[in-house]
Amino acid sequence: MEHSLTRFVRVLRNAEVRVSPAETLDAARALEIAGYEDREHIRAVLSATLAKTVDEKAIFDECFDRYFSWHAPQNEQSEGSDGDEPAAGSFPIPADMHARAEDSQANEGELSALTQLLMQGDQTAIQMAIEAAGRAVGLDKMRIFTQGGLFSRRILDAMGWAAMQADVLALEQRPDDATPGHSEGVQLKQLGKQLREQVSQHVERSYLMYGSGEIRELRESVLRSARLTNIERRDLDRLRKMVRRIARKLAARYSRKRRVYKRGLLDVPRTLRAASAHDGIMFEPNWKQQRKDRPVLIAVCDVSGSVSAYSRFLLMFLYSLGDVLPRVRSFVFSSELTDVTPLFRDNPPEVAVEIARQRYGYGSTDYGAAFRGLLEAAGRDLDSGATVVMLGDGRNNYGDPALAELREISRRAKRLIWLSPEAESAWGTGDSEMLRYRSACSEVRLCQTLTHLERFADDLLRNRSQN
Amino acid sequence: MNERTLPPRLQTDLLSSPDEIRTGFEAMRYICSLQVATTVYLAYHLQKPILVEGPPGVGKTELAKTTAAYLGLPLVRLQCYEGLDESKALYEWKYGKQLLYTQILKDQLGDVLKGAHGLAASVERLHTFGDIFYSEEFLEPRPLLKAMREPDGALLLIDEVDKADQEFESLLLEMLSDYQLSIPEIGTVRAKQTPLVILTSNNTREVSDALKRRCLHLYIPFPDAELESCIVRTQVPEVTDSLRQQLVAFIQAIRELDLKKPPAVSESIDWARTLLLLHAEALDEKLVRDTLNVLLKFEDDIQSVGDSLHSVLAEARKPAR
Repeated sequence: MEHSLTRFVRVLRNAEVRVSPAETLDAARALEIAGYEDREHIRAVLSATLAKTVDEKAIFDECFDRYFSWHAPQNEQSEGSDGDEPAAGSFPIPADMHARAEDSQANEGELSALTQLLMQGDQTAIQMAIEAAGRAVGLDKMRIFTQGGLFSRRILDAMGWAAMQADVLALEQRPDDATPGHSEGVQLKQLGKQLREQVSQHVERSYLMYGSGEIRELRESVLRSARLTNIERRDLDRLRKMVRRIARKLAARYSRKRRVYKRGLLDVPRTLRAASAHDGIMFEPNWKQQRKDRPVLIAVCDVSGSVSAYSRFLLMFLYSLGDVLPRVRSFVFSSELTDVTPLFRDNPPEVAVEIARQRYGYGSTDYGAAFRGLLEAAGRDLDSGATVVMLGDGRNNYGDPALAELREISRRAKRLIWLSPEAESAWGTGDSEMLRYRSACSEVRLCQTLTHLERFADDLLRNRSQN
Repeated sequence: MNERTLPPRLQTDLLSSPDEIRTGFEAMRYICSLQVATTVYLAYHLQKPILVEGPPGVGKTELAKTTAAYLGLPLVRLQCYEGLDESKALYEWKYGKQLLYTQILKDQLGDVLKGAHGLAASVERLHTFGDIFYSEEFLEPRPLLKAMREPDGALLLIDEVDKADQEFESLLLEMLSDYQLSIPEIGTVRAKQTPLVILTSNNTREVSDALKRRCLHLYIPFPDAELESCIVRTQVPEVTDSLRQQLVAFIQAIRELDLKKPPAVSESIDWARTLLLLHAEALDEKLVRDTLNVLLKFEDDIQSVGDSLHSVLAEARKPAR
């Protein structure tokens, strides 16, 4: 049972449910107390001890169904043996198949253990045998999908495939009683084929549960440092998930402290108030404290052609940080500036980003118009508490750079951070105005990959309200 | 693991199996899923706290109350809020009493110190009397300490733990894993009888991992139609079967809509009571429109449900079986 449990925990970890060793121990103890009789009971027990957020519960249910349906006979031949059997079937560890296979090879007169097993047609027993053999050859260590064939082979060998093949030959060539012997041989061959099919299915599923996790981690680490424009369509979904996960992590880190206590500064009114209960004697000194403010963040994104991929992730990032950055105002522009805050309020970030890109992403970029538009539209939000985040390549199509307007924005806001998808070496080349714009900004950062975005958000949150 | 003895009064059949708990709760008009019953069962036998999460109004607090009543334990409740600290949750010294006693005992002091010469000797003499003013006599137990000192065990409900600060969570850790509290002036207080602890959270912020690790986790979602129908039946038995069917189907349907705050179980029950008062036999459009404010608490929600009311209602009125 412990083995079954620890492997299930590994499946969960692969599926991004965080399970600590202590929780695994809890689960084992809980199962001991509650018993293993009923599948739904086991599910309830493991769910309470292993999966500890709402998201994890959903993943848990999926994994549980997959893992504990392992032994459910999927062959049509087995008649109606469903119900509690799958759960019960996965726990007992059957006798060692090696021993049985070798044993049968010794006395040649009899059929091998595997042959007997196949002939009996007990699907549960066959699945259990596959499982046991898989464990014996270390199937859960399989890492790469192409190893599938190799592992299938090894499992079949461990189950005594050779002995069974010998039986097939022996049955086919049995001299006396030709017809029934022959048909038995054919039948056995057929069963062998089925077995091979079952084994390869088993290997595939096992790979999906154990092996794919590490590949995924590898893939994600690659994606983190890939340029956001180069990300392929099929990876978008994965990237979105990563954005959300990173955002959650950041939110958890920064949502904690909302107050700073100024030790040593007495809050006189509160202390006097508290003292009135004790005859005016000040037992309870109250210290002054300061609430951390939650400043306005104004995001201004270029959504024209080349830069739009970056804008998409920046916006997604900012809105996924809703817990710690509740007041984000966002504007997008290409030829003119539009306030998309309501769009993001009414739609989930992914959808809103797409709509904004499609609706406003046309026309040639005009930074001058964007700055003027911002000064007008942001109005009172653009004050000394606001942080303005500009995202764009600063390529203004040789138009009026409107540096004065940008300086005005910078003057009114607390900080003006420019995120540039182009490296410093490209600034000032062609129609790029970055060198000039840089002079007006508090900070210019490179923003090409998810890691850059993450670092930016981290700094943003760390610096908020330190004044 | 050190074995703690179970309270003698509880070594009955009440907690022999999850199903037993479930039937017991049902008799107390609290209908729950197997998951809920199993978690309560485990919490008791593993002596671990339960962290209950779920949307508001699905009966998280009610679970604690029912469990307390079911097991005959006193319910000690601690409502969390931002700024909750030790002196509100753990203990406080009775300053007033201390002050009063020092005043009264001032005269006695002369007797005590009679014969002692010099400051050093007086202090020496005082030391022999111990810290009378910082003894249990002057300790004002707050919910956490109170739950620990209940002689027969207690059910401690820490409500909406997500509203409290991060620091408070850390404070809870010692109590939740070892069932003991450290009071600097007195020492470590161990629980006389391990209390059963239920924490609830509305998910306004993520509860820390350290806390989660120490707890069993229970998520109570909105109930499915069958369970909800069952709940409404036990809570408002006077409602006719057909009306209940429609009502549940309707509520299940509008939970699917995109609402700010979807109606919870408590709202379903309120609505059932309202319909009962209005002597409704079946749902009709006018009736629903007039009573929608029982179910939905935001003007926007009422608006958006009102818009699609006709089709949703038609769907709900279809015989479900």
